[in-house]
Amino acid sequence: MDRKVWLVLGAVFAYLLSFTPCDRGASAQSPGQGASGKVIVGTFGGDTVKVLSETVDPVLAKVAPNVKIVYAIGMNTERMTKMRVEKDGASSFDIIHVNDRDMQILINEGLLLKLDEAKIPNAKKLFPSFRNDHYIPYNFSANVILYNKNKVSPVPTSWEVLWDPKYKGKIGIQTNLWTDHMYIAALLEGTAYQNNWDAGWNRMLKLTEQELKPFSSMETLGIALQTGEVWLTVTRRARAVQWAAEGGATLGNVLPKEGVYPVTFCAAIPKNAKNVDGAHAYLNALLDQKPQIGFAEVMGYTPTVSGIPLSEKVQSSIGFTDEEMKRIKPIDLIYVGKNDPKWKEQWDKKIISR
Amino acid sequence: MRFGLRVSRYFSYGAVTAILGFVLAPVVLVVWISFFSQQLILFPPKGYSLAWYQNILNQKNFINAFILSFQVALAATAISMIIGLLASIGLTRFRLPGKSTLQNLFLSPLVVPVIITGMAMYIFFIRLQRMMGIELVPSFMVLVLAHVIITIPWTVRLITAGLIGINAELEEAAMDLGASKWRAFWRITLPIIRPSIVAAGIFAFIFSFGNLEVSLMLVEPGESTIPIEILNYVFWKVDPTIAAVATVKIVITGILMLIADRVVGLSNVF
Amino acid sequence: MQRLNRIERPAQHDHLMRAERLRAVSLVSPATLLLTVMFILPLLVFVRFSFNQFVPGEFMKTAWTLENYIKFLSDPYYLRVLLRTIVISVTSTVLALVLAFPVSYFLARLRKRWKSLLIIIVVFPLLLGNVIRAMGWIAVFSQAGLMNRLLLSFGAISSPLQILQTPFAVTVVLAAVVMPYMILTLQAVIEKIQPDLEEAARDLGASTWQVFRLVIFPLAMPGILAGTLLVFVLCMNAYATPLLIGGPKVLMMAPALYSQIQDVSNWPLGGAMAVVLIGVTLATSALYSRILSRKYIRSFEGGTRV
Repeated sequence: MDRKVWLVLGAVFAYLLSFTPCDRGASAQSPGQGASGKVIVGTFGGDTVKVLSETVDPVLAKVAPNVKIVYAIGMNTERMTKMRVEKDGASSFDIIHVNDRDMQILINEGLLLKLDEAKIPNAKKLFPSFRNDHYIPYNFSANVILYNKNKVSPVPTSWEVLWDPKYKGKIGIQTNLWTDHMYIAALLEGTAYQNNWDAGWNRMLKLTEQELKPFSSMETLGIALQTGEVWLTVTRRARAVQWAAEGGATLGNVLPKEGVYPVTFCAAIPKNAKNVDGAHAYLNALLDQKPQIGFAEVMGYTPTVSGIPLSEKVQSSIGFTDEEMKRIKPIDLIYVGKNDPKWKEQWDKKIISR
Repeated sequence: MRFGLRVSRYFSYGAVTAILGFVLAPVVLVVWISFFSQQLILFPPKGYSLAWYQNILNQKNFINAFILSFQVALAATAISMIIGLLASIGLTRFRLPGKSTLQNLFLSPLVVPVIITGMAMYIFFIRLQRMMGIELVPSFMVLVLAHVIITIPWTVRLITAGLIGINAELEEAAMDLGASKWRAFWRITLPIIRPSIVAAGIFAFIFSFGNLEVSLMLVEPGESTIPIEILNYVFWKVDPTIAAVATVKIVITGILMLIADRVVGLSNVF
Repeated sequence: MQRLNRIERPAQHDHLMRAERLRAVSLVSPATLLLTVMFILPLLVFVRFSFNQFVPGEFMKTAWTLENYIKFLSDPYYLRVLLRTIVISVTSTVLALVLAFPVSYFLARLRKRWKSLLIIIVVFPLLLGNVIRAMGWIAVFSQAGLMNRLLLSFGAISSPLQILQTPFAVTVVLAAVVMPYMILTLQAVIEKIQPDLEEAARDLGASTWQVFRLVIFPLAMPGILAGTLLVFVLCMNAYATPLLIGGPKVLMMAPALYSQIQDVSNWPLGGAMAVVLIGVTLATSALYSRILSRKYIRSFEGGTRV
């Protein structure tokens, strides 16, 4: 018995010895003049990194063959934390992917590099409302009303439907969408674009009379929609289409007449990034046709640059018509950033914990 | 009296089965779901298929993550067991001032919310890095050390429990017969507490393998561990693939435990 | 070689004592050093953050302020979160203890061959990881889940029950999640209780309940104390389970403080909440330890029973 234990211990030890940490040390990055060397991209896992590696890598390989992209997957929090903690030295990212609201916060904190337009020619093709100095929105979606076609009639046209007593107890709420719901209330109050969302708070409180069903995971909300447990919810069109395609109840979505704001996914360069040239080349590649189509087809997010030919099927399902585009208006991210924590606290206390 | 005993015996069989079934319910469900043919997790399932397992083979990230998780857990467990053993001996065999403070210190990682641990370690190392001018994070060694820290409560606790129950007179008898203190320990005590050591190793391994928050901040770009991959996957969608990943994980670890059983006899362990 | 009689040689005795102490210190120093440098120090950095000022939309301003602690401790909403965490943790711990005992006893008295297998089975749920495990429970308890589906198909209920997002569900699932730890801890202790003692008691006419109350329970007390303490700490810090099973309606401390850090970048408040959570956990554990050890156990150290 003793001998066997020694054998096992010996094997484990030998294994550990064979495995030297040297193999895993942070590899030196070749000094890059022009676009070469490693570009470390902090981004989301799952489908996002899959689409990126399948569409952006080949595009970049053609124009900058000396660039090697390394994807560091993680959630928003890790990237935000690392950005803040690393600000006094070199960043561990060359590119970070976060949503537009967090981008604005990073700009406020002075953590993003001002982009060199000359190195991102594709940025000229961005729709006007998406252009800015510090980050590149590379796809977007917008909130819609997702509804059960068999149970909700007539077809909703306004955000007001969420307050309709007919649908009491049948409204699902994603618990992390406090900003989106505050916006809707303010929009109905008419003050969303006057930077006064607090005016909609009473309307939000009224919403609790609808016996809302909160969902902290999207998966359970999706299932609830498909089994008919809830009939209405507010979600991105991309997600709405995905849920509708998964079978179960017949689901439709509509962009209400009052309008909505775009939810964009963005990429930017940390001020202290190591490979600035490579990073710019990456950003340019993001706006290329291949990735733009890839995101639309795989994840349901719409291109942010003009002139991307989407297939009829894709355009009609996840795309926005010209008419709808007129109703999609961006919000003041600085105002939102300042008030978001306060709204979240109110939301947690008064809306979703009832 | 006999009858009472028989009834209570059946009662205990029934109770044990029910309770175990309760504890194991999620395992059964996850394994079952991994064979569902449809993406939506509804009962009863429309059919069964192995498609999700095949899906894993296509995703190299899961396989690489599994390898890294395994390497980190193995290294961390080994180190944790050694220094846990040393610390346990120091705690139980000697009179030390501030013993209870030390005991609390060794248990402290359990008391701190893990996300704080992960973030705090990262921040600390970045600052240290700036001060010392050498690159510390992210690196394999720091990741392993971080995992050692979160597993120390287990190794210290379990080995201490084993050592407390040992009759010190056995060692003294050996020394009376001419053995040195070290030899007495090695030949007499160590074999007796080997089960506790193995138990410590198993718990430490499981804990390290399953840890998310510490690894999140300390893995190198382009690498990840299994819990990180799982978290990132379920953020976007939940389908039976993740159930398949989980099933593979427990099957492999279960096999490893069976091997450990062959070697030391797990019945002696706990 | 005769061993020296320590009482007869006082000078040598002192020297031995010092050597022993040195040995002891060197034994515990690797673990102590590692924990102090790589754990306690980083934590203190984070505790420092809890005194900073949070600036919405920007992040954190270096400061020395108590506003985060005041905010937490003066808001009934947050205090309710803390209280809820304690109550659920205590309940889950007690529930886990009660349910684990029969299984531990069974396991302790089992023959070796089956024991290994059963131990592996008991450990299986731990191998899933907390997130997947919670999702497994959701598949059982959700409105479209297995339990409701079965009850509906048997006609026991007419519309699905709302089980998730209730304190009941969180307590029960949390107890299930920590039970393997409790089972194995108790099992080790019960195993050491000689079956002869139980037989002797029975021969003297004790009922099963009396055997339990007078023989097994007191002798298993060290294991009960260790197990319940461990499980209580795990419950207080539980994250994935309350988040996914309880949701916003059953908010507990760990999900609440994570949310401050993740969703609004309020590290100061998150840090303050962590300090409060750690403090409360330590205080409750210390109190519990003291009460129980005074009542049932003379000393923890020693125990030279083979």
